[in-house]
Amino acid sequence: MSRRRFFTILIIIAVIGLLITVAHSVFIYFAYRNSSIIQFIARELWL
Amino acid sequence: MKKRLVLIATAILFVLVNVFLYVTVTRRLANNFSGTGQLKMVDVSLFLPFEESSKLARTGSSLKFTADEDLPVLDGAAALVPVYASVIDSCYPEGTVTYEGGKFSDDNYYGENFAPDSVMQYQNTVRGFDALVDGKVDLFFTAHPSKDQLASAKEKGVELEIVPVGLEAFVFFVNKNNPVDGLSSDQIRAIYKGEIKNWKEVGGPNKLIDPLTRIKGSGSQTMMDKFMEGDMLSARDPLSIFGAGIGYSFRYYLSGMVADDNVKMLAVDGVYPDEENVRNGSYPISVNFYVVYRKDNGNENVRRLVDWLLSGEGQRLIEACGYVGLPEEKPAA
Repeated sequence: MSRRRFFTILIIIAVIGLLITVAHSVFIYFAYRNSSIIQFIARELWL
Repeated sequence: MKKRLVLIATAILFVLVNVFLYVTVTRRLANNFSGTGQLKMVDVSLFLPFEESSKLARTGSSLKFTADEDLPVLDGAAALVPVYASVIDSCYPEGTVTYEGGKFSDDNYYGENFAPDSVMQYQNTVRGFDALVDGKVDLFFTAHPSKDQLASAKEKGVELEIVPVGLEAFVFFVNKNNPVDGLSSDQIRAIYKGEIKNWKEVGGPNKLIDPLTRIKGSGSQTMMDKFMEGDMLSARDPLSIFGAGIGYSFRYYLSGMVADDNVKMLAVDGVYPDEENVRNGSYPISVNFYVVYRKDNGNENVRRLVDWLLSGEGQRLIEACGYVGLPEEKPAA
């Protein structure tokens, strides 16, 4: 794999990954503000 | 080969970050304004007056309105739906409640609604209180109105009667797996001021505390503001979202209506908020709940109904609904 091709694919993966993560975080930010606090606590993960 | 591994590792990194976010936060969100979230709100269809299968208290009443009278329209907070639905069932004639609910829309966050001419309405604390002030509702069942709500009524030139009709406990809760079973009032205040940030500081595991709050103007938030004496945390550690939460509500709403087995109420100052401890006053955050009406409301049936709620019959009904009645010296008759 050429250096140029490697960086092109790396940037594409990073951009897509970042977009998904940012969208996920924005969703969390807004949904968290309106979430039921009872459900939020009830569904906590305790290992 | 090495380059390919770097690409795969980068992709896996983003996948892991999002899986972590999903497992620790997203999975736990139950948005109030969605069909799913509706399940955690009050399913009013379970509390419809005059329906045989409704979960209502039926203790009998000597006050019986007739269809040709000016019937007070009742509304209230989610936690008090069983009370005012039972009042209608006991004192109103059949055919006065028309339920058309269940359809979620932008204007109907709770997915519950009643016909405009129905004596039972359900708009919950914030919108229901506005409806009372605007004269669309006659009697409103609620925790004590917030300062903002009272100021808003005053601004509109509306004077209100706020009459205590029963007792309720303001409770704090955590996940059932949280080993902490109780906190002192001072510890709770310190948590919500951001002075205590980890459960290990109050005898629990080494986990961040996520001090959850409710929307401004809701009954429980108004009560919390009072409990905190205005000294509420303004910004909290963003990482606390990954910790273990603590929240607050009213006892019957939490244990009787939502009744989620995965949360448990905490003892406060060593006293658990059961019915007996609320009644005898040993639970430190017992509060009244109220009926509120406009002083200028000319419908004499409003006052008749309030008097009935304060009577032995009314108090029995409130107790049968799962709440605690006023101390015995308070009922009028």
